[in-house]
Amino acid sequence: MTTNGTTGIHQVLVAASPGDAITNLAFAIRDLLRTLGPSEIYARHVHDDLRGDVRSLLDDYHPPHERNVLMFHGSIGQPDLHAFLLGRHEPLVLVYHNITPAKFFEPYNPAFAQLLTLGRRELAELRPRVVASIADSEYNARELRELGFDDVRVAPPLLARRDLTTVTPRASTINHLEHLDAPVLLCVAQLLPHKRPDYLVKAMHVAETYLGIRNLLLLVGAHRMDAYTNAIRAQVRELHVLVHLVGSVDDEDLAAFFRTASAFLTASEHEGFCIPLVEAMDFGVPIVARACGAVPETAGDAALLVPPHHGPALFAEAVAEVMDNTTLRTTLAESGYARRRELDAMRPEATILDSVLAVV
Amino acid sequence: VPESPDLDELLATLRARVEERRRDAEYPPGLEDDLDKHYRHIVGAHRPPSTASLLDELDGVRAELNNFAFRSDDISVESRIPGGATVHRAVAKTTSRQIQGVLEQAQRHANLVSRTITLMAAVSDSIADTYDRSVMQQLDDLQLRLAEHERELHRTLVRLDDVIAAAPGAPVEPWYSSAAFEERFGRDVAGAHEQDAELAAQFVGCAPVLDLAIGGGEFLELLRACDVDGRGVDIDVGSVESARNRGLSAEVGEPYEALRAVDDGTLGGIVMRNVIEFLPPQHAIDIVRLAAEKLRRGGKVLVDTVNPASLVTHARTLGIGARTVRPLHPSYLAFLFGEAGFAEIVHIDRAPVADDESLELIPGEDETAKRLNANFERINALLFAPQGYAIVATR
Repeated sequence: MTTNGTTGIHQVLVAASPGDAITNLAFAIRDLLRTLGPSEIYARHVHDDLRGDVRSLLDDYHPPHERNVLMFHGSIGQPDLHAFLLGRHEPLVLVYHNITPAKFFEPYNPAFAQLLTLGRRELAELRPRVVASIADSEYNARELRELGFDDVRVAPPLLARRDLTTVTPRASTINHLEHLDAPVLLCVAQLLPHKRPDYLVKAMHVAETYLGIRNLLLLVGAHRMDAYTNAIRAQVRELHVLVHLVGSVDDEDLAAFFRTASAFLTASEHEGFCIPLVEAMDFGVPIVARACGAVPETAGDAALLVPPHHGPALFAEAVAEVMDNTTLRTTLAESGYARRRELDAMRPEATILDSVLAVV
Repeated sequence: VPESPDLDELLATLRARVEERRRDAEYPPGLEDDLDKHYRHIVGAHRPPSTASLLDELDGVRAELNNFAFRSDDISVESRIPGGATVHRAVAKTTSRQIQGVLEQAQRHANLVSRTITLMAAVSDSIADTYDRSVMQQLDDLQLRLAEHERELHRTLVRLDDVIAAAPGAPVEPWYSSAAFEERFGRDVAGAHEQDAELAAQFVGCAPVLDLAIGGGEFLELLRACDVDGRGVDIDVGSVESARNRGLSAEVGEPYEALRAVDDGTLGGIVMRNVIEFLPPQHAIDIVRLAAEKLRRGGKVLVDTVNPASLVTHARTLGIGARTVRPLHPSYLAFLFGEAGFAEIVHIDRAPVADDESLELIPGEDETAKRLNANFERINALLFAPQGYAIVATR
């Protein structure tokens, strides 16, 4: 709670939980903002482990005056939070992480799809309240501009990014993966419909059945939706492909996966940025991806990008080429290191501070 | 140094390669469509259009309606009859004032229609929005409560994991390779292979035999050499893969659960080599009774394990390896088999200590020498008893 007379710059989230990417980013931004003055994080839902560090939006936000600035992280709808933001008069800075189109979730979780639809509607309603906007990527920035937002700046969400190359990979995991008789392909993404793991499974089927290439694809990432996870499991079982649904892992295992991966794959159709691509670049792992959302912008020349309208046959061919072509692998790895340096040079912390200082 | 490939050119090459495969029928016709259909079938995605997609379509049509304008120059004056176009243009010019009046009325009417539809959409939006927010709020509250329950469940599971990890015989995942462990601590015991072959021969006529820890698969191979049908399980994936590569029937599994999964009275033999000492205490005694249930009458079970009655075992063997070892005394194990109803229980010494390692008897036949040697033999029996033992019990 802001109790003194100093202007505070406070962040507002829908939910704060340990390990969540947006929560981690909010912590990093809070450190940055505290160089300017008081700064707290308020969330509609606060995980028990974060109570004390993150405050409850509805219970704890009682500023004695309205000289504060609010910074809202937009990624999904939430009626309470939306009503709160509409009812306040503090200048509002929007940090837009993109809202996944609802169509991806309608077959599996209509209620969640409704929340996403609501999120987009709420975003449009917030426009008159927003005085500055920060987007994770130019792709996100375009969406905001199309909705009529002015003064949108781009700051890649790299502030809170952990450097996995400094993590000691788990020896038993590396040992296990190195003794497999098939090269390891890696996809790191929550197992959700817009990430299109089903497309990767199809591509693996084409590669194994018609190109005679047998690789092990590891789908690493949290399983958030039982109905969807079950569908992917059934697909893997029925197509007889070597695909393993690993689930969530800790940093030691993730580092081990990146160290042993022969290629990184993503078929995602909607990305506001895609941090795992940057992690693959860190490890010099060649990338094959579909050119959707912010993926081309994030990857630059560091990925073999399959056009969105092409099916899994071309993707399988691209994977086969990357596995077989040493010069291509080297080129993609080197381009990855170069792209990494370009992203670092964008200095997102400066963009965030500039945006905030402009409205204080 | 090979030149860096141009990614666009490479992609074009790959596209051409895919097309060529299609032409050459390397890919069956409609391959990708079939894969899509297969996935849709799994999801059961034969659904009517979603509300969101209908709203998108409605927005598009409304925008088109709003931008629609009636224009006189859109009225065609062309004609197939020679000179007809001139006549049409003349008529159009003559009646332009009336046409313009009609068009303006139509435009006003269209604007009214458009406004009406826009208002109707706004009203239905407003109703839906109120309803949505109320439902979403309830849903959000429910999800919050669900999240709290999930967190509580997670805490319970973490505590359960701690309890399991603290239990004797709990699973352990060494970070070193099993090959390195074998190289450092693995050893061949003289005569072991011959004795194993004799043990395997006892299972002739006892098919099918289930080996509950195949290790290197040696015992399954010995069974095969005796024409005894055997299959095995092991918790180590590498051991199972290696056994399969040698044509043996093996799968990954935990010994107790693997035995429990077998139908009662269907096995002719059960092999437990280096198994029972690693089981949790309850499972270690239960597996004997379980073996009695799974064997048919006349079936045999072999337990080959470390001998805690030999002190040299404690000095040399126990404590090497990550897993907790809880050896069972041979008398106690024999007691368990007896209580479980096994008809015949045979004890076999395994891994004897070499003669030159035990206390040497002193020469002489005098009373002192006899008494000293008798003492030495008692000490040898205690200190240097065989490091392992086997029990073959018949149902």
